[in-house]
Amino acid sequence: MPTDMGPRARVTAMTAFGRGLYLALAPVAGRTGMLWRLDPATGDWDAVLHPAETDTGGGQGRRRPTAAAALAQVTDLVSGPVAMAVFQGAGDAAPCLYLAMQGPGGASLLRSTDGRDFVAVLTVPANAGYLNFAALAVWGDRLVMTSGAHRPGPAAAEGPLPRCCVLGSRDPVRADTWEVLSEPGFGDAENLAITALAVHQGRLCAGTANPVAGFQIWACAAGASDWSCLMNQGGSRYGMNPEVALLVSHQGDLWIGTAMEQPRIATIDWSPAELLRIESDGVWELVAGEARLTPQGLRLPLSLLGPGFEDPGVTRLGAIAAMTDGHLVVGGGPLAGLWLSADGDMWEPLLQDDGDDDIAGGVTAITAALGRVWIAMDGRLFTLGAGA
Amino acid sequence: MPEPLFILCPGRSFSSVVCAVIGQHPQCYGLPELYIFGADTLGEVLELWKRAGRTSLIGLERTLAELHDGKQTEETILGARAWIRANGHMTSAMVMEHIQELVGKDRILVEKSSGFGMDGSGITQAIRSYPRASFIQLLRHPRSRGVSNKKAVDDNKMMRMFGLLSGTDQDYEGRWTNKHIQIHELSTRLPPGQLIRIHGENFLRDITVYLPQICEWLGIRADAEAIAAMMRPEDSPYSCVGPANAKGGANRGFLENPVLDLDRMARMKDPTLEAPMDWAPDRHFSDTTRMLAHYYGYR
Repeated sequence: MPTDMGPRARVTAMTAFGRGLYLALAPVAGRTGMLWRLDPATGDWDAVLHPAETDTGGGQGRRRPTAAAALAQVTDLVSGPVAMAVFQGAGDAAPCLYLAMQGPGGASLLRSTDGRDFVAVLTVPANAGYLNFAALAVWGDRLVMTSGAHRPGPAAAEGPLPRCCVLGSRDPVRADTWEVLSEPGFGDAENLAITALAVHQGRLCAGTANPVAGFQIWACAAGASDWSCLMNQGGSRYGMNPEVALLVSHQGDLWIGTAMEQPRIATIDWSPAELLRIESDGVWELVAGEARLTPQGLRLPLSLLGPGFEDPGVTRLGAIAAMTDGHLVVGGGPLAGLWLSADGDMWEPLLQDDGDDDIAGGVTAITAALGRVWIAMDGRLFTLGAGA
Repeated sequence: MPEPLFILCPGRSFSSVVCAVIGQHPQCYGLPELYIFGADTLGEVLELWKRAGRTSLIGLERTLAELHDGKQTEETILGARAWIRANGHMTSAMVMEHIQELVGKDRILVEKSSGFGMDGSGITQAIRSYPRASFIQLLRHPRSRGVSNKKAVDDNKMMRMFGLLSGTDQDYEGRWTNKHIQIHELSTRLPPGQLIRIHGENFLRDITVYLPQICEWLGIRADAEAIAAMMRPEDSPYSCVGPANAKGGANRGFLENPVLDLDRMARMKDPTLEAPMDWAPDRHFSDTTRMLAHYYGYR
């Protein structure tokens, strides 16, 4: 990564588009987020999306030849990109890069045909009462994303879009084609946000943030409008599994990584994150986490490892990718951790952070693209083997 | 020798019934409240007990009477007391070993001293003595636990007097919160799977769903005969009011009526966290208690 990306740079999403690898950086400590592009062939970095233009709750993107001046600017409106997807809508001549932006300045969905110039296709101003578009996914012929506020706040006035819903469009460049695909919070007011999306066995799956009762996983079949609940109560870990940080389909299983960003009680690390999966028969298994009794039966960690892969500093397992040889690699934070598995059950640590430097959040994104596995960790970018 | 199973919780958390149910498994032996952890020796435990205004370790006395003499009578209780006085030098581990020898080496001792020392020393001692023991963190809604605790205090002259003399309000909320923080801190020190959390209300509402899981977790039989035995806690020699000089050893309500009432258990509902505390109508549960309750699945 370019050295002027800043020591606190936190990558929120990565994706390949065209011949480049795109990194979305979150705003940190008053600095706005931005988008970088790497040309793997030359190793050159390009600051694609200038933060100043992202602060208006959407706005236009401009190509900037250098990033140094851009990073020096700090504005009051701090927003940043959180999710990306490559999708060719009904009205597109070719696949486009879509970027979901969030922040107090408002929420927006940006689109680029060339990976350099971006236009806002959907914008929700700050006074709409909610803060973000959180996740993006491609589901058949639709681009889907989620709306919702991640933190409880003042009662939200209804804006142009309802809160905590799944939205979808076959032609996302046209704002009037966006449809609401789910009930707010799937009918549960304690679901504060839909934090993750994945397409699994043809169904669109969504993971929620529910700090009172624990995360939920919902699924909707292609062509249908009804959602069914695949999992709730945080897998019987309730408020200690409040949020889905990763949701990925891999070899017939739906993988779930949890996150908890709650204040501590006393001095105890309350809730290192867990890794779970819903298998092809619909039964969920605990891969790394806390043994417990559940309505579905006793759950013991298949990996024999507790929450956080035995590291109490890992309160978010939010990144996963598959390698070409079938290995899975999972990353967590804020204390950086990286684990590898050949069979999905037994995991070996590739890296575990012994320090207390959680400035940039550990491993925040992993993607298999352009023949490699890219790992964003603590403001740096690494590669590992060959990506699937 | 099998490692014991310790049930950890603040008082009034269904521990008597849970201990008796699990203890009735053919490969287990459920004990009354022994209260032998919390000091280095049995003699020191007795001293602590005396300072707290209590005269004897009723649960231990009933256990020893039953195991030494095959029955619990006033006479055998006196014999047990003499044994305790004569063996004041024994550590808690030595006492447990003695009990284990009498029970048989193929049965897991199930113990539920919910006191365990309010500062957690008893829990620490249990882990030190039995680093591979199994632990259950038993949960009950903080509201219903507090209501039950208050009722027990109101019904007990000694406890009411103690409260009045010490000038302290009974902190029913703090007992739940602080104890579960202690227990949870313990769980972070144990290898995966050595401690599991049981949501008492869920367990009792769907007992036939959870009993096989507990058996699986402990590595003991889960066949129909074993489960059927667990469903009869009243068959335990300790699931009744003891002789006149050692009546207790567990929750009095349980001792008076130890038969599982499956219909009543199935109808059990969780109260809310939202309303003011029943014992302090001018106050709500603290943010810490509410957060902890959410972590454990209470609303």
